[in-house]
This record gives sequence, structure tokens and C-alpha cells, in this order.
Amino acid sequence: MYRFMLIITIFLRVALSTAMTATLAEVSGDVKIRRGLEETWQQAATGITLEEVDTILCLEGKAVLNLDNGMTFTLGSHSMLDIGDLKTITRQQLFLYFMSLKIEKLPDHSSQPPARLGKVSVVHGTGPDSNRPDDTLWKSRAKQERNGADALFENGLYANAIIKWHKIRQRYPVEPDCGEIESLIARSFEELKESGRAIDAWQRVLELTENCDNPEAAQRAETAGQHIDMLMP
Amino acid sequence: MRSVRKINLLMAMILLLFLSTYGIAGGRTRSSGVGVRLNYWNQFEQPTRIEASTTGESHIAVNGIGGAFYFFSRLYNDWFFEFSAGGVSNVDVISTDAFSEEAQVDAVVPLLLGLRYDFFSSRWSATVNPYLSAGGGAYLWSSNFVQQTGTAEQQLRIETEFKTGYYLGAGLNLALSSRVALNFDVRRHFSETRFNDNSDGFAFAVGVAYMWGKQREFFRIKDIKWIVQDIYPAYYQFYNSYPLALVTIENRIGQAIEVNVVCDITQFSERPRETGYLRIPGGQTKDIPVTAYWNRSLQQVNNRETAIVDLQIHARTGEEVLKQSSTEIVIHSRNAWNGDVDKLGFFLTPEDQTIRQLSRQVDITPDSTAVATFERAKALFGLLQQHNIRYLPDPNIPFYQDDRVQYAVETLDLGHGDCDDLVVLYASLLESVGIHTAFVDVEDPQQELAHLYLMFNTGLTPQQGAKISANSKRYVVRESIPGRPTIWIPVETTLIGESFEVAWQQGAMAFLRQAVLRHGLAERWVRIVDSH
Repeated sequence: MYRFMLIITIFLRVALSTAMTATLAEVSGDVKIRRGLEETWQQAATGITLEEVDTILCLEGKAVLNLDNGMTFTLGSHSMLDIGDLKTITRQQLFLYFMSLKIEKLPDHSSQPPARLGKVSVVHGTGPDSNRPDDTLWKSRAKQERNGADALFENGLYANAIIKWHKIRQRYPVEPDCGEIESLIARSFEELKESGRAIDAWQRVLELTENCDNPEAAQRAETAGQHIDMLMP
Repeated sequence: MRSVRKINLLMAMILLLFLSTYGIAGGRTRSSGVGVRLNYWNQFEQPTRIEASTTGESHIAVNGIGGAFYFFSRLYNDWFFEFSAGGVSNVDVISTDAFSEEAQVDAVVPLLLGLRYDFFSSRWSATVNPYLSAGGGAYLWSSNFVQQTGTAEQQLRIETEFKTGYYLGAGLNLALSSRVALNFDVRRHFSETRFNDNSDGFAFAVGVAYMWGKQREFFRIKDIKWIVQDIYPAYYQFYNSYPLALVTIENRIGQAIEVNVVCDITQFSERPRETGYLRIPGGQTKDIPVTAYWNRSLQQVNNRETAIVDLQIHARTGEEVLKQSSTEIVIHSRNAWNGDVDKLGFFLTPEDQTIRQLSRQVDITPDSTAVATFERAKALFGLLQQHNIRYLPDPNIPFYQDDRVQYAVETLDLGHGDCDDLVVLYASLLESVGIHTAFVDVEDPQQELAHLYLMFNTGLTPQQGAKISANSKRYVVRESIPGRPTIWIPVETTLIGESFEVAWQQGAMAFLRQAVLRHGLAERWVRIVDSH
């Protein structure tokens, strides 16, 4: 196979020609948008067309989006969503997404020579002071993205919600994980009539809640048990 | 006491004889042989008798004694064809006085063709080879009576009869050496004659045979699978441990053998490489991986050429046998690459002196230690800009030829390279200062040609992402170590003439659109391959 550079403009044309779009049908309150990979937010306004690489953030506000597939999507306060998260996801794509996660987790059996003199992986510059995250901003963003994922569920985009929650769990890991996100994933699988996967997710919830000692976790475990009993053939 | 000692001594000598022939014969019969047997087949069930008296009367009867000549030849494996011709007679002579005598001589001459199966010879290591046999043929029976009474009267009667019959037999061949064997045989003959109602019967024989021809091989090369026939010099470290071939050896005898495979590649071997003697139990088959010691000539190949791989297979079990096999392999040029992104990491040279010196020219003062890796990577990209490294695509290469990848130093010397070359250069620089890299391999189904770019690990946790960008779409969160997600930065290395910011932006956008939005990662046409 031969490697040649993609001409960026041609690439962008091709990419944009198959990309989805969404139009802001209604904006109320403090709603912002961010274009592509830009660092800054702009104020949103009705009628603006958003590309799939853009992001929308509702602070104290609400936005209604008309998607190019004819669907209408509502995003509530303190929610953030990438427009690309609204793209239609088929069951096959959902399945492939989970398979790719499993493949990523497999140990690397590529035929690298055991004798290779590789560099030791050292992350320079990390020290105790610099490791402390910016908690406030991080938690705020995590909450906003989480609300965005919840909005996907509320608007019936269950497959999209599942993938979004997966990404949120990876991007914003919580210790200990008491199965909150996993239970949402389980519910989404139930809505998709994927009983097998739903049962797996509820069982994972049971495993995760074992590590937690709080009323919410206990309630979640009970709910998981009930759903498993209900779904079991 | 003395007789007991003599018996013990005799038994000890016989045992010694058995043991001494153990290794010599090796339990493998030669393909052909001839022998003679002394037979005993008492058809009339009469005893052997010798009587004499002072009155001149005598009675001599010798029954069932005979001999045979036989020839055998291997048909297939442990099956032999055997031909035998012999004779067994019963002689009864009665003399009543000096002038009166009568003699009765009955004989049978069997001419037989048969099959023999040595059923232990390929599985049993001993020199004793039992067998079963069966066959049939012609039995020439004759009955001869001569009587002389006094000086005048004589009576002669000769009768013959030709009959067919068959036999079933068993026996032992005791190999004294690879060419000589003692034979003990017993047969039940089935052939009737009017001369004797009890002509069927058992015949016992003892004999000796001389053998010639090929001994069955104690091992054979069942298969040689050549695993690698195209050698890419860039992957030489891989070939030092990865087998070139698998030699399958079958042990065809009942005892263990030892096999040593020696591999030598003309011009390219430092020295022949031996597997060492490996034990193969009796009757079993073993796959033996073969590797080579490569020398520096491999790194100096500039144009594709061929080389001969010679394999010598030494097998031993008492004796040693050598077999050989050769094949031709293709040695590609040192810059050749078969397009396998998993192997592109072999082209990285972070330990190269020039690369190390170059990478250490970068002096950064990051805003915080957390982003030092990111800042250093940025600075190294800028360093390549300062060296006026430019993107230049490779010339059109026919599909049947390899792609060509420049090592980092070569790209620095030339001042240009295509996307693979620039990825290798930037990755080598990053790796030389301990920054982990990964290749992003894109085989977009909507595009005719594949593409390659790079991402590097900042070491930052997802929570620290804001330190480098407020927009999380500009980086990729990856768990290169399970349970430890970190932030990776995609960089479009062909934009080496632009700023790091531009290259980063394009790399991030490409990843976002292809890997994420178009599900390239899930559908496996976008792959992230760690460089090591």
C-alpha cells in the first residue's frame, strides 16, 4: 500500500459533502456554540446552521435543533453536546464500536522484536503540584457533557446515548465507579430491545455497586436485580 | 554345579549377543534377503528310529527332516514378499539280512509364495522382529518304495502327486547385524495328499538369512514450511527470533532419535545457526523452528536481491544421517517497506547519535511541568521547520514493488520525505526524548490512497486537558496502558512546513472526522498503531 498526502482542501470538500448538519430552530437563555476545533465560544442565535464538528453549550438556557434527518432535538440547561453525537447510529455501528473497544483492550501481539531497544516511556515534567486537576472546570464540564448524554436518551437517541456515556466515562473517570453510567447504558439497551446486552450491563452494575457503600448504590443494585429478573427468559 | 555354571555362562553369552546387536541392527530390516532353513515337518507322525542287531537286521527311520531356500523382498513399509522352495522327507529303511532290504521314502517339495508382515519393526527397538506370514503354492508329493528280496527279486514303486495348498505362519527374525539374521519359523500347512491322511500339519524351521538393500529410514522430513521468504532488512531484529521455517521431522522407529537443524544463508549469515539436538520420541513427529544469525550485510542491501537458505538436518540414533534442503529467499532493500504499519516502528531510530543530538538542541521553559512533554514535542516540530524539511511525495511506484521509507537521518540529509518518512523522522525525535508515539493509519474507503500521520502521548490525564486546550476535540483520550487514560495529540506531519498549530489542527480534525464521526476506528479502517 502506498502513502500519499491527502490535499486538505479536497479532503474537507469530500468530508463536508457527507457530513450532517443541524439548524438552531429555537434559542432561549444563555446558549453558546463553538465551531470545530476553535478554542472560544460564540453566542448562539436562531437560524444558525451547525456542522457535525461543532459543539453547543446551554448554560442557563435551552436550545431546539432541527436535524437534517428531520428529527427535532431539545437540549436543556447546563448541557453540552457535540453536533456529531446526533448523527444516526445504526445497530451495526453500535456493535462495531463495542468490538473496537474490546480489540483495543487486547494485549498487543504484533510481531515486535523482543530485543528492540525502545525508549523507556517517561513523562517529563509531571510533578506532584502539576498533577492536581482543575477540579471545578473539569467537574463542570463533566456535568455538562453528562447532561448532554442524558438529553440524547430523553430524545430517544439511545444508541447515541450509549456511545456518549462510554466516552464520558473514559474522559471523566470517577473513583469509585458506582455504576451510575452503566445503569443508564443498561436502560438504553432495554429501549433498543437488546435484552442480552441490557442484562450484561445490569450485571456490571451489580458488580460495580459492590464497591460502594451509599444509598444510591444500594438502590441501583436493587433496580439492577429487578431488571435482570425481568429480562431473563 | 559345574553344569549349572556352564548353563549360566551360556545364558549370559546369549544375552550379551542380544545386547551387542541392539545398536547395530537398530530394529530396521533391509529391503531384501536370502536364507536357508532347516525344517522339521513330521507328516506321518512317526518317530525317528535307528535299530540294529547282531543278526544283521536293522531299521533306520528318519522322519520329517528337510531344508528350504527362501528369498524375501520389501513390498511396502513392513510388508514383505517371500518365495521359498524346499523339501521334507521321511525315510524308512528296513534290512532283514544282507540281501533283503526295503526302503520307503516319502517326500514333499513345497514351492510357496507368500506375504510376511513384520508387525513390530517400526515401533519396537529390539533386534527381535516377530512376524506373521501366509501364502500358498504347489506341494509336490511323492511316495517311493523299493524292495529287494534275496538276489533276484526287486520291486520299485514310485508315485507322485501334485497338489496346491496354503499355509499360515509366524516367526522371529533375530538380527545379528544389519545384514545377518537368525530365523525361527513355524507354519501350519494345509495340503492333502492321498499318500497320507494326515499330511496337514505344523512345520518348524530354523535358519539364517543374509540381507541387503536399503534399511527403512529412521526419520523423514515430512514437511518444510517456509514462513518467511521475503526479508526486509529494517525488521532484522524481528528475524533474529522469528522462525524462517518450520521443519517437520517424523521419527519412523520405536526409539527416540535426536535431530539438529543447521541454517545458513549465503552472504547474510554471521555463522550457521543450530537448533541444538532435539529429542523426538519414538513414532512421533515434531515441528522444529529454524532461525538464522543475520550479519551486517543485511543492512547494506540497496537493491532487492535473492539469497539461498541452506538447511542441514542431522539426525542420530546410534548412527547419524544427514539430509539437506535449500530454498531461495528475497532480500529487499534496507529502505523497503511492505506497507504493514505494524512494522513501521522498525524504521524508528531514536537511539541514533544524530537524532539524539538534534533532539537535545531543544531547550524549553514550559509554563508548568505538566505540559513539558507537549511543549517539547511542539519545539521539536519547530526544529524540523528550522531545518527546512519539506514534504515531497514518493515517485509513483508500481503495485508490485515495495514502498520505500527513509530512516530519520536520511530524511534530515535529503531535506525532504513523503508522509511515511516524515512520520518516521518526527517519531524518532520524539521517542529519543522519551515521548511515546503512535501511527494513525487511515485506509479511507472513500479515498483511493491510504494515509499516515502521527500522534504522541502528552502524559496528561483527561482532567488536565484544559492545560493544553479548552476544546477536547483537539486531542484524543487513549488508554495505551489499560486503566490509565492519557491525552494524545494528532499531528499531520506532512505539514512540516507549517506551524505546529496548523499541523496539530489538521491532524485533530482528520481524526475527528474519520475516526470518530465516520466511525473509522470502529470499522477498523482507521487504526492506531503504537510505534513500539
